[in-house]
Amino acid sequence: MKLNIDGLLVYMPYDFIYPEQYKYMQELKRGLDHKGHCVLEMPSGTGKTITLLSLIIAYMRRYPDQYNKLIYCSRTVPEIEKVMSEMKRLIAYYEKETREKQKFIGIAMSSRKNLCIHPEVSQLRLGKEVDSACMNLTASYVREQAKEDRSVKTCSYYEQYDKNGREESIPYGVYNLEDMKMYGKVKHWCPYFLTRYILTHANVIVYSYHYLLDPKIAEIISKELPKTSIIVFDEAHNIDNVCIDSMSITLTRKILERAHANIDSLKLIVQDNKQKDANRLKNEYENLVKGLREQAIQRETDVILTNPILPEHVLQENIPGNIRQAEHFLIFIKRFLEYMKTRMNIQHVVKESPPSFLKDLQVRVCIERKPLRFCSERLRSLLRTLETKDIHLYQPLMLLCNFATIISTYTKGFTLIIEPFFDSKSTVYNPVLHFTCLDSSIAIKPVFDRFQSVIITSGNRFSKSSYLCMIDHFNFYLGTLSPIDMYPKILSFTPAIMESFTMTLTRPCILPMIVTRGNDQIAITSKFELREDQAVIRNYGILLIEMCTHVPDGIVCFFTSYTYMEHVVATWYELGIIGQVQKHKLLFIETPDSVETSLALYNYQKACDNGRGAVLLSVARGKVSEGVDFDNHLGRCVIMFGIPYVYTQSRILQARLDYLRENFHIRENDFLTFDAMRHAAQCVGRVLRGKSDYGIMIFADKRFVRSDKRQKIPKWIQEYLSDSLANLSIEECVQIVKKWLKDMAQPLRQEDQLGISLLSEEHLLSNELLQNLEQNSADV
Amino acid sequence: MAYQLQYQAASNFKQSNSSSVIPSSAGGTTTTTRPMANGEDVRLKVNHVKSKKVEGTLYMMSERMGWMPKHKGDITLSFDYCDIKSQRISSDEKSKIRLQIVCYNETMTTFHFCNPNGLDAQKKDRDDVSELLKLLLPKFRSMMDQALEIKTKILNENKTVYQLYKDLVISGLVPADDFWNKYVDFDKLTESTKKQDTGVSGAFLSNIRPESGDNGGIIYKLNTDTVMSIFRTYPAIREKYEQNVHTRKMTEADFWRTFFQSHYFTMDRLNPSHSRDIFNDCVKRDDEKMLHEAERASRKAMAVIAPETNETSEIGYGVNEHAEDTSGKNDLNKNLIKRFNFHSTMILKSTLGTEVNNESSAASRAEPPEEDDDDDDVSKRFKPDDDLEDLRTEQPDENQALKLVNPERYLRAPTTDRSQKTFTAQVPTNLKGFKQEMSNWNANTELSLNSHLAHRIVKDLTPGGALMHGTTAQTLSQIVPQTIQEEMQTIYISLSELLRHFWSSFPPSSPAIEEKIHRVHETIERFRDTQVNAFKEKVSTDLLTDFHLAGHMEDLIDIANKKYQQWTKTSGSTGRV
Repeated sequence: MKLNIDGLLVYMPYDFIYPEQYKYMQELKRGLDHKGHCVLEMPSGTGKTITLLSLIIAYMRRYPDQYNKLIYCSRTVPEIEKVMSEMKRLIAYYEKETREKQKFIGIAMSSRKNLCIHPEVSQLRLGKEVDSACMNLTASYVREQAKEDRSVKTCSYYEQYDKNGREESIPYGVYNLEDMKMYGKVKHWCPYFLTRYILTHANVIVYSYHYLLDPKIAEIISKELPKTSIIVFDEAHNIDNVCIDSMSITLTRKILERAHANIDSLKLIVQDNKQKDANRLKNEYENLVKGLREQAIQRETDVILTNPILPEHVLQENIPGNIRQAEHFLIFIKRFLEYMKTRMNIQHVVKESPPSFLKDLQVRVCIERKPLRFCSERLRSLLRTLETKDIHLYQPLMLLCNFATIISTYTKGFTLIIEPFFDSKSTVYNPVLHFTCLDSSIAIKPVFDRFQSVIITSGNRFSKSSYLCMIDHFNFYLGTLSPIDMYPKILSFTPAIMESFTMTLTRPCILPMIVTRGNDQIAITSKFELREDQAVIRNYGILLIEMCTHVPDGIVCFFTSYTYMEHVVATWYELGIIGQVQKHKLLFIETPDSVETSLALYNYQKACDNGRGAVLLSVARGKVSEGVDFDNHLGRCVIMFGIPYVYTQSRILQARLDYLRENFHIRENDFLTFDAMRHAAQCVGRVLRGKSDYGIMIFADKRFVRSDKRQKIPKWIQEYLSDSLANLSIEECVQIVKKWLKDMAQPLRQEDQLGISLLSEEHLLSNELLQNLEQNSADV
Repeated sequence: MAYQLQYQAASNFKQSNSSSVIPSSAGGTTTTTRPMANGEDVRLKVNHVKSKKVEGTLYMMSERMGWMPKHKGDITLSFDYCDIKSQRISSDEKSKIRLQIVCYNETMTTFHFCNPNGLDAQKKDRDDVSELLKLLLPKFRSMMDQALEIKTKILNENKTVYQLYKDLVISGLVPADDFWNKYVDFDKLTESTKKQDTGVSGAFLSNIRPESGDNGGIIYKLNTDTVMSIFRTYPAIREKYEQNVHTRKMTEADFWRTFFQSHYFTMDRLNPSHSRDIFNDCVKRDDEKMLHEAERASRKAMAVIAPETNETSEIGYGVNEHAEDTSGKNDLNKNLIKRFNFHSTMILKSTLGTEVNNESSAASRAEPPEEDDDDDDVSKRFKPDDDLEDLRTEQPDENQALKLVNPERYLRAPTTDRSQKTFTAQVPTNLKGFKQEMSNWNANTELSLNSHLAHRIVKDLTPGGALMHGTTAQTLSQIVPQTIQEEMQTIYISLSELLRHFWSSFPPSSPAIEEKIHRVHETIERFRDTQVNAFKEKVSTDLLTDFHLAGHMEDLIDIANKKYQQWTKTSGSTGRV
């Protein structure tokens, strides 16, 4: 269908549109008109991807001078493939309607592992092995050597691409990873480098958001993207973790040992080089004297995406004299390493801020802050100069240098924790250093600064407040603070549009319930004091048995932690509850081992498919709760046993909470509750994927009834959580479930949905309906 | 409504040692209308058999028995085995040796064996026939019962098929066999009747309830079902059973005693350490098997389970929080969980595995290809869905919309309309103009009316609006009650089926088809009298008279009638010359 969104003609490759999609397009268009950033939230299963693509591509066609590139960042390879197939459909529709070939290139980018077609290299299993093997074949000095020495191996795909690939432009079309590989095979060109080359002139790029956020790779991949690009972060509820992860570092003794070995081997190479080819090191020295000027010039012309590790003023300076010589640098870094080793040699926990660390460093081993800042840059240069093979072997040393650079660059937003034991329960002495980023906006700041429009969108139905939380754990809004006040203060960007959409449904597809007590009237809760109580565990078991008897197909249960789940399962076995459950359904359980969990999940799916029915016991914050959807019969019911509070004894968390309190005056308890409810909502939300789906959501803990928790359940669930469902015993719950399931089992026809949760072209012409829509969104 | 089924048992039964072949012949008093096959295997031939005092020969063929009078080339009596209800033989005291065939339609036929070689030979002849019948009848009966059952089921479950059957078969239009062969898609309709294996209950182990014995011991009771469940779920135990019990190494009771002590039964037990346990080595093998399975599964599902493990997950980067104690203090509980997973997996396998085994029972241990497809499916399952089915128009199954440019022409016979001729010359130029206009057309959304104004205008101009007084917006489908609509639908289905038969017979190429035309026409007329007219009357009583709901049907019949009249006239004048 063709839509008229405030005067913009939008092609949409479907016959119908959901009302929320329509509203989403309107908001998005407004955001783009303002050339501002947008935060948009829409429940998953409502076709967010196609909505975004349809509108943005239409917009780019209409106003090519304002925006000429779309960069679509998603989380995983399957999600990238999904975006590509939607884009293919859209372009096919354009071609069908306009009857001409679209001058359009859409391309998906991924790591070498997913794109390599070299017969040997592509067989390697780990990503970094592939990278390293590829570099061994394609690095510039290897190819130089190969010119003289026939025995040096190179990659024929890369050679061919280097010879011809850049001249010939790829035919217009949409290329997913497989297509790229096919094209590469036909042409005998390396798909990875070809893709990287095409990024510069493709209309739409789809890749993982590491390529934009992680400073370590953003510089390589994304530096040449024009300012007029539209950036979309899809599935952005994890974006803060990506930001924090990309800036955080963990050091252990083992890593330090390996870094030590790295330094030794580099030393040997340097000496070796000195005897054979002194010129090379000399050249490097000369270059370093000239300094990083070149980079500074590039930055002025806005070619390079700002590397947050290397802030502006650093580039103005030269690499300090005392680390310009290769040997000097190695001695310098060795001294730093030795210092780190002594620091790690502790018996009690140390928590420090970067400034005090730097001061101590200066006092004890006379290392100044300035040269430290250049460590990672200097190491990179050295490795390049020495033409080192197997770069991935030097990772420990690179890690150490990155640590040095970051800690000397940022004084705020980071914390340093050294613990004598690797994890809280073990007693084996194994000191570990956590250097943790507390402020996720550090990594994302360059992106906001550089690009006109950044659109952050997610399907995880969180309330508006959680959106802010997605930008940064701490930049979120709690009841007392207004988001408008918070935003300019905390975030480094001001969104033009911030909107959250709920799902319009024709029937009550979800049945949220809060079960607070068993049939014996004993309250059920996962509160620390009560969670080991037999009565509580038995009541949880009875609840599960009842659900197994009445709910068809799949049931998913979430516990608050692995330890608790293990304990409960063991108790259930003793009480014979497991046997009762098995009478009705097969039982599968998530384990910390991801291979085992995959198998359990695989079998769970099989059991649901063949009508056997199954129960999956898993853990909130676990692997299942993060990435797996239980649509239709895979999840008819989800039970949340307890409130999934985060483990509060962790020092890193404590540091974050402190940072939060000091900087934003947010109380610890509020944050913890908020976080727990966010995870509970995420677990529970797994059950519904789209409008024809339906599912039961049971919150089994008496604490859910309290208003501070209940208010934080996402709005679209709260709408259906009436007071009569909010405080139930198991018996009452079963009665309601029985009735509801009977209603839901009736067929859902398209006619019934039309005009309410599904719109056709005619509907969009009727003003009444549009006004209704406007009103609804105003209410929300 | 009672209906009668006619059936033909399909038989792939064939005797290899048959010798003679009899010529085909048109049946005299055959009970079926099935034309005779060209050659049939004769399994037994008995001379000197009298029927109604005429001597002849009795043939026993693979699907029927027939009797041919002496000195004639035709089989005048023929019975399909599946029509025969029973046989009766005369008692030994009687002087005449006779055999009576009783059919389902209660007709009886008696054969008198009169071999001139004497009573014993007669008896022997009769016994031969009787024995063979005894052998064949049950076979056909079961076959027939099954076929009958399936057909009955189809008719009961499918309204349209039943309606067609009523109109076509019962009215004698189409022979029953043809109906089943041509009109009914057996495979599609009988899908649900395929046999399914019963699965193993998940709780078969916990269903074994211990009872306290006489002297403080515990008694477990096993029945065959449970044993079979155990064997199906755990092939390893079956193996052990065969190794130990079948070879008399230990008694059955001892074997099960060890089983109840093993980790298979008591799941919260640590791995058995005492060497006496015969299931000791099973643990290792099971673990290996699970690992193998897991690797296969994870290859597919990994992308889903661990989405964050991508190229950036290098050592040392990121927040490595060990908040959760994953190592766990309690190995016992871990084992328990592992065993639950194993148990469920094995049960699932016992159910799903059978299909695979049937297909490639003798095949090597290599992975059955079928399972791989399955795996792809799995990875798709948990992947985000990229197709929004909701947003597509629902495609009506099978039905194809009829696009009518000129409904008149569809209703009446194709006649050339003279008035149109004058226009045809202009069509190409008009078309060209249109095309040009269309190609130049562009949606100019910015110049279009603002939606509010446009909407008001449209509203005024739609029925019920300010400018549109006095029109009704009700559609026919809203006025006509649902029951009438449904009735009309069924009548239409039958009528169109009849008409299809009628029209498809033209032009007639053989006397049989001519015969058919007459027959069908008769039926159509009858149909009009009974169904259409009744419907018309029903409709005219209500307030629906204005709509002439039956008009179109009558038109259809009239046209067929006209054609029939025309044809009888021409065939009367030319055909008989």
